[in-house]
Amino acid sequence: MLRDIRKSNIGVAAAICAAAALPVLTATPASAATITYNVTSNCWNYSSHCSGNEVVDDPLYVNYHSVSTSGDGNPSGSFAEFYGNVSNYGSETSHSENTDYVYHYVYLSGYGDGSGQAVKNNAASANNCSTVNGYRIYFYSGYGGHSQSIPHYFSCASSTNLDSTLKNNNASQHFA
Amino acid sequence: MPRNSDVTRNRRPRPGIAVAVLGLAGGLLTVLGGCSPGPGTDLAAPAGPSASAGHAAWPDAIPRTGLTKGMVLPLEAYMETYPESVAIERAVQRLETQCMARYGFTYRPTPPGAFPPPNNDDSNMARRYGIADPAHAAKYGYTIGDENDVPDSGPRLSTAEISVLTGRVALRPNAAKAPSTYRGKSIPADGCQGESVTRVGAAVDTGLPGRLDYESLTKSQADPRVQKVIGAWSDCMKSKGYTVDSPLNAADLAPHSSGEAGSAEITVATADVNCKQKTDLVKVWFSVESAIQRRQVEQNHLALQDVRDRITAAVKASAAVTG
Repeated sequence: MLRDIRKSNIGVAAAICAAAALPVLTATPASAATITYNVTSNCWNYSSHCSGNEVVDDPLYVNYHSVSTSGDGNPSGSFAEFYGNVSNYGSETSHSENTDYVYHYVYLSGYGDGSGQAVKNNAASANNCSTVNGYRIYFYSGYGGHSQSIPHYFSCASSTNLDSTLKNNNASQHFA
Repeated sequence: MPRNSDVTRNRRPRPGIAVAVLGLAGGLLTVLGGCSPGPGTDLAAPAGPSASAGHAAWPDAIPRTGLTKGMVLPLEAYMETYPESVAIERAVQRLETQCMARYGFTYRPTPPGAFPPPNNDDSNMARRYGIADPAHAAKYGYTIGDENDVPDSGPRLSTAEISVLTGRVALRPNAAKAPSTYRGKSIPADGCQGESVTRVGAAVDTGLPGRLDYESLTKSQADPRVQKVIGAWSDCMKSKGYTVDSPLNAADLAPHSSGEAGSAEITVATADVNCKQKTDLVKVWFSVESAIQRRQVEQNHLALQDVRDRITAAVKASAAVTG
């Protein structure tokens, strides 16, 4: 259970920071520099809705494992957390002057199965921990293909299994 | 990490700010009560509120523009629509507010419907086979066009408020259960939220049409007729300089920034839709998938009807709450 291993916010922040550490810088003379990070949330993009790299407003948790039945508790294994709209669970890019900042989304390290792995096309369930906002997960990047509602009716205490039983199609999310 | 006080809560921070921060740490409801799914169902309901105060319009029930214009898949009749979701949410919020007041809390959540999704239901018809609207692609690329709009989350709740509202001590997965009473008054199971959701029947399992809808997309993609037209589309894209196996992967051709689409992305998106037009991909795929879904409906009619009835009942119960 997550609660058993999520010892404190400090520990979580440290784990997230560890995942975001050691960015890779590449550049060629004719192009902009590119700096890449592995991150476990999209707090780089929504800092006002976060505390450190932890989403505090309306987080959607994307989980590596499923639960036996949707609405029946939370799964073991790792997770990532997102706020608002994410066009691609693989990575998103921020441009600033001559530098591209590429953020690769990965599961939190140190939380069992899935730790450190890529989120995209590698999730089995999700928790909507907002008390007011809905979310939709799309099975392809750019909000394409089939979509699935992740309501907050199950509350934060329970997960919704994704429709993709093969755990290979989940790629973007949007408020709903 | 300190909160970024330079940005409003409902707008994204500028990239430079975000990077710096990371660096530090590394009423227009179409209530379908009484309707029955199938031919003749009023899926052509008007969209919700149009854009106002910077908010996006509600999604069309049926695409009005582009290559998917007028297309409706059979399973859509059994899915919960966005207006239905908003109607239910509005009732749940009203009940939650009343429940919270019993414990002395003034709870005023952000009203639903201000920040809609791009699609009306699980089918996501406008982007089901990838983007399909030439005008939208030319302006927004693969983006929705609402990238700068995110909800204001409203005031953050205290631990006591969270406990009474949810029956848990925090809004985190596996948060511990809250004490069963607050100031001597017992808290409902799963808090005011649980009580309110149960009262209108909102927590029904409506997943069946969605799961079938996912399966039909996968099955149709493997159909030889669809494979053939996907191949033609892929060849068309190749002729324009892009190597991509499926229109569902086309958005990955032009990794865009977190904000608005750039010119390179718009160029790819325009080529994508143009190739769909040339190959008739959307029409062929939709035709094949419609036949698959008609069989799914035949084989699962009773269970699907049960889902539809429960959604309709929840909407009716919600209307009784909100008046």
